[in-house]
Amino acid sequence: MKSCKRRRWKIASLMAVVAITAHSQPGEAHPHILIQAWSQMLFNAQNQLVGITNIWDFDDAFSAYAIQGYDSKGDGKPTREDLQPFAEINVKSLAEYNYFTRMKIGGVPVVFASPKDYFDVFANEKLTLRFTLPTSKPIDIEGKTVELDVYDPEYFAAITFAQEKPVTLVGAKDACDSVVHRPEPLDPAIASQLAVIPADQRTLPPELFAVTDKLVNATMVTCR
Amino acid sequence: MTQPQPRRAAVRDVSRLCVVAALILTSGAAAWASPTGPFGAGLPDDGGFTGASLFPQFVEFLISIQIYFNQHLTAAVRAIHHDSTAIWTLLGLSFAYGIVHAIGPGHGKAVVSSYVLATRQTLRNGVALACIASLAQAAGAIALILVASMLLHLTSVSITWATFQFEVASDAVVLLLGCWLVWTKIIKPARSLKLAFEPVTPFTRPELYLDGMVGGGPSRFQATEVAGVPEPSGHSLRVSVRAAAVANDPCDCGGLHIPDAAMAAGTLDWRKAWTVVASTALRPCTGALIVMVFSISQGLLAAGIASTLMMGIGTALTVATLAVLSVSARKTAFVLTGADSPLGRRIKRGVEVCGALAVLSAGVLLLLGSIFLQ
Repeated sequence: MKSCKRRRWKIASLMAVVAITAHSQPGEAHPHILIQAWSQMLFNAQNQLVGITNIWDFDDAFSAYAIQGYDSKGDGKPTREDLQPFAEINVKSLAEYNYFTRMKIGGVPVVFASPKDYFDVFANEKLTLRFTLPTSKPIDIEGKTVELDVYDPEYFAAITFAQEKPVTLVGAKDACDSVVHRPEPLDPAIASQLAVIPADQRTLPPELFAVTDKLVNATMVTCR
Repeated sequence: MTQPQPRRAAVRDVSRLCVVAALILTSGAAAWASPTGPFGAGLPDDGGFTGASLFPQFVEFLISIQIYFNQHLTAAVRAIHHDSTAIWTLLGLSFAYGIVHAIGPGHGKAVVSSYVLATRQTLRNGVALACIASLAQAAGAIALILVASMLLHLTSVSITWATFQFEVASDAVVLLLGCWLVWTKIIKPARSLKLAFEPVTPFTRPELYLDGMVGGGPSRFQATEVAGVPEPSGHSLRVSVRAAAVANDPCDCGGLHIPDAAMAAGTLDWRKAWTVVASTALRPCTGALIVMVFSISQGLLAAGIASTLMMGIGTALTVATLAVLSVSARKTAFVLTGADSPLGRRIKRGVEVCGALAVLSAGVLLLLGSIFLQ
């Protein structure tokens, strides 16, 4: 009787595995939006970091999709003014995703204030979103390392830094160096940890935050 | 079988299995993005049932594939301007994209295969349902863009919001289907078996017939084992009966698989299957919408429609394959255990019960996800 029970469980587990495999699907593994990104780090006269400007070029297909209905002249070419309501919704929606922007200075995460100077431009069949995230207060970065990464952990938007000058320092004294790390192939163990984070969870657990730093679009800036 | 309470043991096994399944489903169903995505335009695919943790490299692979398709589909659309043969490239890419994309998120195929399992569909019906559901999804995408974008000239944000509302409706349809399946596959059989219990021969001989509703139609069962246990009160006897289905029609003595045989001959029951089709039609794939809008922006509406339809055909292939796998897995389990053995029957029942519960929990979780995010 015992062996019968064991056999039953074996078969039940087999069925469960088949059922789970048939129904299992990678979560949020569909980047429907491809973004080429540039970031500008903004400094004040005291060589303190005061904000970051993100410039995101969307892929052609999503650009065409996004501008639907915004062309006031009906010619498929919306102006910057036409697109302002869209930019408004962009930054409002992005707030839930921490603007896909994570920054740490000397290992301490930076808190950003509400975005400003945001707008969308449509030119050469490409939509570009530009917005500035001010830091909540000016931050001294001398002797510290600034780590910046811009990416969507859920992969709905696949963000990659541009090949040419992906990160520029605006107003910084010339004693700063920036190094960009391209995304490396994800370590499967980490990818799986990331994949099980529910999409409604907008902040990564600290231990994962640390490892993701190494993985995606990370920029290191060091000022002497 | 010498187990004292085999039926109860079966219920326990099935419920354990379902608890495990429900836990897995719940972990994935939380994978919901903000209702209208990070830009307010283009609805993220709902996570459905997350299995990414099992196949991380697979996720990476899917991402690179998606990027490949995005770039090559747009290039193919553009190429049509100066090279009319590029339409074939576009159609081929769209077909392949449909196949691959359907492997990713989306509850459509899970609902199709669960439905196929719960209602014991034949291979043919399973494949037919998968194809119709996938093509309906493509048709839904085309209709949405034609009406919302071209006719009404709505903004991308409004269209995305509308897509989200449709998605809620789609979830509600899944919930409806789940309720119906649970009613017909779990509650009603249990009830009618109890109510129709009626010994037709003296109790001294274990030749007992029960009329009940199983698999949606009336069936007759013959008792194979009867055990009587006196109730503690001593005034009544608790009788447990194990029964096997026998031919309903006296002329049909062909065997014990009456519901399967009847289904093989029959066609899909559209009074029920429409819910599966509606749930996919109401949830067009964001990728298809984007490619179609891009084609329109290039002045190539017909190419956009053709591309979307080809994606639907590709999706149909994947979903049909999953339906075939589901049916085959069920059949294999029966072959392994013997369809008429107590275990085989228990699995048969368990598969239906789990299929019904899977659809119900998908409906509940998806709908809750939508409501909480609104």
